[in-house]
Amino acid sequence: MLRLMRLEVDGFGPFADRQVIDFPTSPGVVVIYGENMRGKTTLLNAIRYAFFGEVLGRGSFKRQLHSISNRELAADGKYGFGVTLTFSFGGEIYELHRSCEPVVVEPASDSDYRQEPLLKRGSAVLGPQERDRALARIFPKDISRFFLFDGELLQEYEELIISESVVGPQISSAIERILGVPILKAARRHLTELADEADKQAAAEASRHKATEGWGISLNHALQKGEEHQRELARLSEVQRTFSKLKGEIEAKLSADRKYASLLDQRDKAQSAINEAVKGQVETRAALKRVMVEAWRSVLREPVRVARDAAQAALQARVEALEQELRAAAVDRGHCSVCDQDISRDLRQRLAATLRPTSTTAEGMKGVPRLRELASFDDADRSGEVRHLVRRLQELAVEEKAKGDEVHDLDSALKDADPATVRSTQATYTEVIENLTIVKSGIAGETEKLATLETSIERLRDKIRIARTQDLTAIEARTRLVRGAATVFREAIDSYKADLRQRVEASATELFLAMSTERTDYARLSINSDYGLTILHKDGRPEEARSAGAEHVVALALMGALQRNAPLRGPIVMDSPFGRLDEGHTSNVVGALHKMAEQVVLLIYESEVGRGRARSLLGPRLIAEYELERISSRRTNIRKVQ
Amino acid sequence: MMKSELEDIRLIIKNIQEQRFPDLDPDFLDAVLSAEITSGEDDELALRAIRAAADRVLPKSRTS
Repeated sequence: MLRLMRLEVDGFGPFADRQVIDFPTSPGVVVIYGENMRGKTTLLNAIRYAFFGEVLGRGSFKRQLHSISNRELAADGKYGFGVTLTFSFGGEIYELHRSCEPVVVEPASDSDYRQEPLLKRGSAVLGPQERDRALARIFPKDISRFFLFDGELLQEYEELIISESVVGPQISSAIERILGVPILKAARRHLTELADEADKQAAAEASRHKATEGWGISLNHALQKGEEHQRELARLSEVQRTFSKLKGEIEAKLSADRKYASLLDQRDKAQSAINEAVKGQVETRAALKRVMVEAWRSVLREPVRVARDAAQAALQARVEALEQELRAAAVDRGHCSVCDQDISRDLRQRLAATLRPTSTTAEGMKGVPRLRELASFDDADRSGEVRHLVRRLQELAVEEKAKGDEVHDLDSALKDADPATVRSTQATYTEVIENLTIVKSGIAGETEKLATLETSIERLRDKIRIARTQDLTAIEARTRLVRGAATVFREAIDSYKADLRQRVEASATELFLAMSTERTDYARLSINSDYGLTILHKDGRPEEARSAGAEHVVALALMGALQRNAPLRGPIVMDSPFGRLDEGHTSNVVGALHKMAEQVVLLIYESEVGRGRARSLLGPRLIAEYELERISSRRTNIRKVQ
Repeated sequence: MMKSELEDIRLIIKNIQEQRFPDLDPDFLDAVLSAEITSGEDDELALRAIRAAADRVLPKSRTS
């Protein structure tokens, strides 16, 4: 069994500096939290890159390795990256390092890079041949879909229950591979080859004896013709495989075009948000300018108050002085000029007693217009409004930057898609379908000819047996042994596949019921010959209209069932697998993860499953937590959550 | 990722041999399976190992 021990990434995507994840050795679930664009899918791709030297983008398209270099470092002219994966397999520790280094100063495409895979078993570095053989044995690429998977791709498994599906048989073939069927098929092929070899020896031997010479020659001739038909059949089968693969790729591309459109839509929305943020900044700056025109007044608030108080006091003093002057004049003249009346001696004496010396002059009255100006001065406090507008300006700038980063990332994702080729895809698809029909007809013809030839060969073999020379007897014994063994393996293939289907069905049912929220209604899953699973109700009727969430749970159940029943076992690394699930299903799936594989690595964003919920659902099965910490839009660090 | 022993496959082969081909040497079948497991996807390696297994088994078959 393969078990991940440590992943180190350096310059890979947003991981500018060397970052490390240590996977505990105990069975359980490792959760890695990260918001969108922080590098969750990049981590999944780092493992894929270490094993296969390739990185997949949306729609399972290979991404250019040139686009993987950290953008911040690339802006400084530092290109290239490296991934080191340490894992155990079959009781031994392996260290797999793969780096992608530029061979020119300013690389522009993948051809400007050199890849250097290095595999160490213990402390011994394996040679290229041994390395490739070991990697093919440890983690065959065509079964990687069951170990490294993107939640988005789970819907592919719906194809397994669709007749005439092209993707279905491809997945079905990959399923048989993980379940070990190719071992039986290879044995049958090799044994048949050796039996044919023995037949040729028998024909040659028979040709040397007079009694069997004619039969020997005929057998030799028939065997040669059989080989020709076999070669033609193999060629046609290869052509069929190529066309089928092409058909699948075109179908995936047609599906990816839809995703491409969705990405374009996201990009348009992000661009609109940028435009809105820019417009908002212009408006806010204008508002700020308007407020700032008046805002200086608040700075003068205190000096104006002091000046106003002083002017008020001066005016008051002048009024009082004026009153004194009027009284003094009335005392001098015995006549009040205000009320125009003479005043008595007695009153004059009393008024004289109230007179005080004054120092103010008539100049004091000039303070009246100044006081008026000072009183009309608007010194309202605008600092709150200014603060609000400055904050709004900052928010809009952040929004513009964030959306700018999003557009940049979406542009990267869109870079690999070429709108021009989309137009020709449908035409190519029709052509491929026509070619497939022709090839299928050719295969049927060759198979029929081979069957007829096989009957003749069998008749000739019987006749040659009559000769019974010592050499012929030995050859015959060899033929019997290998041909008999080939038959055993042929029967074993059917028997093993039937047995597997039963076991996968039982395991998938158990997992499905553990993960479904409709346990009272659903009875079990039923498997078809392509490993497609149908939900059966308790009354035995199949569920006709499966929701997107139900499809998702069925696919996850299949994943777990394959892991349980496969001779090929390893970790499951899941990227955002809860996209189509409601809260109840998400909780059930998280709770059942440990049943799917011994080692599960879950890459999620916290709005899918928060830390508290993950801890509560997984309990002691949660063996480690990491978070992807944003340093900048182009730089992420991996931090262990304590 | 290979399980150290492919017990399920071994068992099915053993059952078919015992029930349908009792004259066929079970050691040879086991050797073929082991050859396929250890040779990975290397056809030449597998064929060499199966030939060697047949050579080992055939004299035994003739004497038995």
